[in-house]
Amino acid sequence: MADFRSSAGKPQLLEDSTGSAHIIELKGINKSFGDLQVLHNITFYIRNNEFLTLLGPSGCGKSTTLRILAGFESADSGIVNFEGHDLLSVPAHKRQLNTVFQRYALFPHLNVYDNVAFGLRLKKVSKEEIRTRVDEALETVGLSGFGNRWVDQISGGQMQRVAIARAIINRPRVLLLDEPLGALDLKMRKEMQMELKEMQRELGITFVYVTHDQEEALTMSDTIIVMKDGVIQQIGTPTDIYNEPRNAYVADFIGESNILPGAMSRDYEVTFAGKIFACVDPRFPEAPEGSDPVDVVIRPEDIYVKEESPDRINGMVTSLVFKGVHYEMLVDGDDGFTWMIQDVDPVKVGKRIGMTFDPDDIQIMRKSDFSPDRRKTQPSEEDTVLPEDI
Amino acid sequence: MHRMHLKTSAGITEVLEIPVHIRLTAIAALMSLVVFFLPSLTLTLFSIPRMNLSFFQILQSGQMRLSIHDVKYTLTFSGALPFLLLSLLLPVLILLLIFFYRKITEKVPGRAVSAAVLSLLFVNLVSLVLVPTKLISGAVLAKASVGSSDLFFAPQAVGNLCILLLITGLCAAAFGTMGLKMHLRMVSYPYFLWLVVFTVLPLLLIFFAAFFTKNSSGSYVFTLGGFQTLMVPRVIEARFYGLTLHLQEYFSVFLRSLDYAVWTTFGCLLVAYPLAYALANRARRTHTSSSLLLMFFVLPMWINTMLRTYAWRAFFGQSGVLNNILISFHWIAAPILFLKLDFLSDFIIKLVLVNDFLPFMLLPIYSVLVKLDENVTQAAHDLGANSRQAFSRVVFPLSMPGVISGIQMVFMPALTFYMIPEIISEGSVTTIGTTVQTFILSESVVQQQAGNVLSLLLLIFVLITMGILRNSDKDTGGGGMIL
Repeated sequence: MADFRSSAGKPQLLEDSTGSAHIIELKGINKSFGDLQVLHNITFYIRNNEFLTLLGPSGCGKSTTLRILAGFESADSGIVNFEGHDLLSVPAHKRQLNTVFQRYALFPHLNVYDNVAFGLRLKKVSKEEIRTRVDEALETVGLSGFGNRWVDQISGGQMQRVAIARAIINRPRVLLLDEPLGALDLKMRKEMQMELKEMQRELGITFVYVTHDQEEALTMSDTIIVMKDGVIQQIGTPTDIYNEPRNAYVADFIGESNILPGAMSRDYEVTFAGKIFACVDPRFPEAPEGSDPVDVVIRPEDIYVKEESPDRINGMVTSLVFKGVHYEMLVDGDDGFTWMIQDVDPVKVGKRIGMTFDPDDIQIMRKSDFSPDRRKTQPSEEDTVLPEDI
Repeated sequence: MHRMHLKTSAGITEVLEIPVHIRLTAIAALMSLVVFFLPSLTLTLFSIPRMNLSFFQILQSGQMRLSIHDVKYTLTFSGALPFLLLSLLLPVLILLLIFFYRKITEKVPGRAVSAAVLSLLFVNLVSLVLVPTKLISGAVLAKASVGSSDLFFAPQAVGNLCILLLITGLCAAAFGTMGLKMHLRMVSYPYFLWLVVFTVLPLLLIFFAAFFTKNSSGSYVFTLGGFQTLMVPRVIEARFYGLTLHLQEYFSVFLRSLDYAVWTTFGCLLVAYPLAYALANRARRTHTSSSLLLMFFVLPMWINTMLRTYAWRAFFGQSGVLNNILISFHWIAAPILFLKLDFLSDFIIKLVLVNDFLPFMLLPIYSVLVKLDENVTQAAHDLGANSRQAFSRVVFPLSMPGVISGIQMVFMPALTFYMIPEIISEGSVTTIGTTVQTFILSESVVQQQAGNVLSLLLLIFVLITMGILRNSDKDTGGGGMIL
């Protein structure tokens, strides 16, 4: 399992099977705004030079976590270690972390050059060095020659680049990015995703990235932390998170999925949709004797469309949408569940089909009270308009 | 023009689709029709008391009774009949024209319709005005000792409003006739008139009064008399901060005013900035845009300045509150003449000036600070700035527009303010304001001219200062600037 870094129980020792160095460790962070507790026992570590993404919908506490790291918020309880030293007692301006803000937060009274040079001027660096390093930073973000522009004379994408250049000029150990691409259009966002990933590799800086966009997280990250209501749901690589979601919420939040109730009464065998299927998972160790209710996830692209047959799950195609690479079909199953299938071959609406899948495409999860809404599988869309998280 | 899609009634849609100027004309025509039926003949016959008949009633009864200065007259309408009928029929005709505007303009160009409406409305106005003169003969007027010109001017608000409406309708129709379209931005045109009447004209008049004088033959000639009065090489003794200086008379007056203005501005800035900063921080922390606390600081602004100034004088006066307190505690034996002591009185004047102008400095700075993006300050901290550096490198530069507007709102008026120094010093201090007052109120023409010249010089000084301030704010984009 990939969730060995999670914070399910009490603050625990952070063990890392890979043995790589941790630049930051958070242990048991709690935070409340008034009566509302926004962070519950947040515990995870950040490896040196990794691209870590905090992923979750608005209000899940991901931005608050980032702000605690940056020093703009205090934690009610818990520990943050930065290379073995306590970070929480260090004021924001002395931390070796720099932030790229959601709305850029450029200094409107300074031009691009002075914005980028801001951090160096505070450090009393010599004029020549400032010039070389600012030029270098501007080149890194692809804005050479923009130094004399005013920040209100450049586009949103360019402002974002200035914000990044400004943040990396101090050569921070960790760069914190708070939904940096949220205000850009789709095409620009895709471009910047690639560039950011490239930049992270070249600079060798640890990136902590906050986003509500699951696709962005899957594309760029080395590690993803999925959060919901101030609780970490799962920590893992993009592949882990996608292929082995720990619960129905994660499965639903990351990509399209068919999530249906099932039961296991013995190892490597799961019952759902009224039929018994072979699978690759044993029973959960804590499961009681007899039938153990579970959630079953089958990704839409893992379902094969076959002929109708009594030993398959059968249903009627009710909708067919072309999505570019594949067709997306909704199938009203005889089991009463609406299945989503992605296939390169279309099936006419109204036609009856049978569905099969491989045993290792059946993902078994512990039963959770989360019930996904079939029509709202991507909660990220409606969040994009919100300016900031709690 | 925006088309309103009202599918419920074709007639209403048509009326709504006609141009603005035609609609205005319709309002004028409707008004003149309503006036005809309302018992408001007085609208055009105001100087004659106790007459409250409508044109319609005259048309019905054929005559009317009228009492002027308690003498009763019976008037017949024979002479006024055609005009009475015209003022009844013309509005109806105009309204019909407008109601069928869409249909008519299919055949006839809109300008022609506007021209027709214009001429009809004009005749309507004339006939409305002529009715009273035709009703009331010259003999009656002479007997009642009322002039015929009295019949045309309405001294009451309603009458004036009706006449204004009619004239607006005429103007609107004239617009249409010229082929121009009326836009909403024309609402701003009366303000240009305001600008001309209350800003440009007075300035020209001041300039004229300053440099032109009537000679013996009654024509106006150019003169520098006023200017020379100001430049007279008379040296007087002036005391500044305990120093006795020998200065040209009016230069010393100017210096005195400048001294007050600079200190007032500086004092206001010194008090207002930290206050605004604290209030803005508090407002941001509590997520409220308006602060009750701020209101308390602005509250004195709503109390009459003169009243406040006299209160200050009462406080510092010989038998004032302060002296009474000091004596009752036996700290002093005899009252101190705070307002007569050279240095103290000067200080008290500046204190009162700062107190008086504080809101004008506080409000612009507060409004800029409260809108400051919190992320920007956090970004400064993030990049390694401590609180002091974040303030000096980010917050203060970003609040400059507010500071500059505050300076403009305080420095300019403080320079010419004369009431506070006058009242506090009990007339012993001469400022530019008092000098201008003395000049203007003097009997001598040359002195009056000197007053005007001084006003103009002050204006030039103020304009130069404002120009300097504006330029210094170029970098920050000038957000939040008032001037």
